[in-house]
Amino acid sequence: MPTADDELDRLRSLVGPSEVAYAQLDDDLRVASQQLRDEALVTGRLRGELTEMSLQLARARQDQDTMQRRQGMGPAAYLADLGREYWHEAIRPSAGRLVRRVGLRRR
Amino acid sequence: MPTFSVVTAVYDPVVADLRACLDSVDAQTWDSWQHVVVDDASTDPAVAELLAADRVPGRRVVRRAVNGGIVAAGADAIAAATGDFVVLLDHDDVLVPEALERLAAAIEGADDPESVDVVYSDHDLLRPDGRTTSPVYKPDWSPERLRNHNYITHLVAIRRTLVDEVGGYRAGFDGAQDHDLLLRVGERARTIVHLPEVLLHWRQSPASVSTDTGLKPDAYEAGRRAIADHLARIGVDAAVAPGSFDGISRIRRRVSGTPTVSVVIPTGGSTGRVWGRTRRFVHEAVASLVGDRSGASRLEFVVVSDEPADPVVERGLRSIAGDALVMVPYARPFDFSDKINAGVAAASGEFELLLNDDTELHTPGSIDEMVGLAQQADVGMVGAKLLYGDGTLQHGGHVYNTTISHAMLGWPGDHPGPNRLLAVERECSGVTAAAALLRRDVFDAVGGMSLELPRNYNDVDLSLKIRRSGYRIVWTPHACWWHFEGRSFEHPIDGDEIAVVERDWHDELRHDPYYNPNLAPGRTDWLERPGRSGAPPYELLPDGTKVWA
Repeated sequence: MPTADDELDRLRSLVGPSEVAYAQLDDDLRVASQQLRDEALVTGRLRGELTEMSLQLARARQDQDTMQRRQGMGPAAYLADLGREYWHEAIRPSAGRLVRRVGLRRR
Repeated sequence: MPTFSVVTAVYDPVVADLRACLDSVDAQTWDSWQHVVVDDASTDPAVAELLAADRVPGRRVVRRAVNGGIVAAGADAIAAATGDFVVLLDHDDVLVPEALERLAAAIEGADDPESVDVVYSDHDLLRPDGRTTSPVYKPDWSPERLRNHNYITHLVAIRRTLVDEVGGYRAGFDGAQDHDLLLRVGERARTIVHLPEVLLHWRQSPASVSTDTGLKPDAYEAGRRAIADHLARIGVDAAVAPGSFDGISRIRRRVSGTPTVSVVIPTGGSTGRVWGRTRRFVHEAVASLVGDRSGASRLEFVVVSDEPADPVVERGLRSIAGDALVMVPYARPFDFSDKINAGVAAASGEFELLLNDDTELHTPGSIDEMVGLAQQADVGMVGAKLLYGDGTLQHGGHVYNTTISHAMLGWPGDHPGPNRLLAVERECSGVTAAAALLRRDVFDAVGGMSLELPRNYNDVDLSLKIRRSGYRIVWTPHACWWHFEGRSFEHPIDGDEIAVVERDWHDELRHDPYYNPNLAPGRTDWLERPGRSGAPPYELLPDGTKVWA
């Protein structure tokens, strides 16, 4: 029997890849792909954490900048700074929306 | 001019914290207020002493003979309220001096002040050392999100007649009484106003939910019952379970009937390498859905395929989808919008799932999750969570904030996000058409995809048309696909087609109601504007001295 199996293997090797070899190759490919996917997810986890930390860093730098800027201000400059912020964030956008709406109505 | 009744239930609090709370109400710049404080039979004599000694005009103290719990005490407080609005305030929270004045201004500033039934603000946390931190910048009224968790918390003012109409606090919901009340009020409120200003400091104390959300399992159980009751009242057939994070609930809607979902996939039949293997994208996209047997919906696959088509594409699809496949040949030059419209025209389902071919189903049951949401009459479109091949987040809902992009782009795919926003179903200004489900009647009513936008922004335009028609757009983290798109996908407001979007949606692209004006423009990752991140506040004393808290 072992001789017959050996002979079968010898003949298979002579005729090239068999359906068994294709199945094995496919299994190998599937395992390799799964490993690649797992590795990609590990890398993605790190990449995601980096994105999250980049946000934290942006926040810290922004806070530092704001505090340093305001620390050097006197009361008048500080109030002017707040007023400027209010103008840019609240008044100007609202006025812009109003003007646009009026313009649309006229059209 | 509205009058406010601030209601506070008290039971053996830290006396200093209670004093700070009382003082913050006394210091209000708005005169028309009443503070109803109900002492729920505190055993600490210092509490009674404080309330007896510190007599203030406008404050009414009610002492209960027997301890009855937060709901009973809160109900007594509401019963004693006489103002136009009831303002809920915990005994250790602190109002900013202008809180009631700002609430009044928000009510008076509404288009129809008489219709304002609820107004709520942002809040931050009050640390044990007295410093404030971690501001919570909330979206405008977001009912789907409220079903998932109480994102409103405090500060909130509710018209007293409405509180009475819904029956006030309900017995048996201790710990979740505010959430239960807000759900019932939200069902009937005519206008709900969000004031994007921090008007309340929520104290972080050892027993506070703000400090450790795992401390109150009974409250969470009560919260789930409140949500289940709410869903039953509004006619949504669903079960409510604990969510994947403390403080949020998982709503599992049951699909009504056996609806047909037409999966509309435009494709050029392209191939590419994913996880080391070459795949024909459209085959894998369809196969992953055919392989998911968990759904109640019947699927039809409408594949809009470029002509001349590789015969391999149709043969493969036919072997995967069988009779459920409808091929729509497309011979004109590439036009994503036109292809989608052609696909929907050939579809027979009452629901359309617009799906990119470079996707693969990640979470079984995703389509039923989306159908369950889209079966609510006022939901116009439902978006899904999309992950890049490395597991990072590609789509968590659109944000239109002087840029057009995806919320929290590139974050870890399983991250709950700021204030759990990636772990809950929530309203969005728009969602990507890479995986979006909508009813056929909604698609037809808004005229489908705009042919003025053949490549980009067509989903933005579709989303905004749907919202302009009065529908909500909901994003759910419980429907999830892999999306093998290039990572660099991000559209600043620029390019050939932007003029069309700018012409039609100028204001909407600059005011996203589900973002917050306190967050930095041009960002979609909830980064605050400078000076608003909760960093120690700068205080200027009258003598000009600067104090850093």
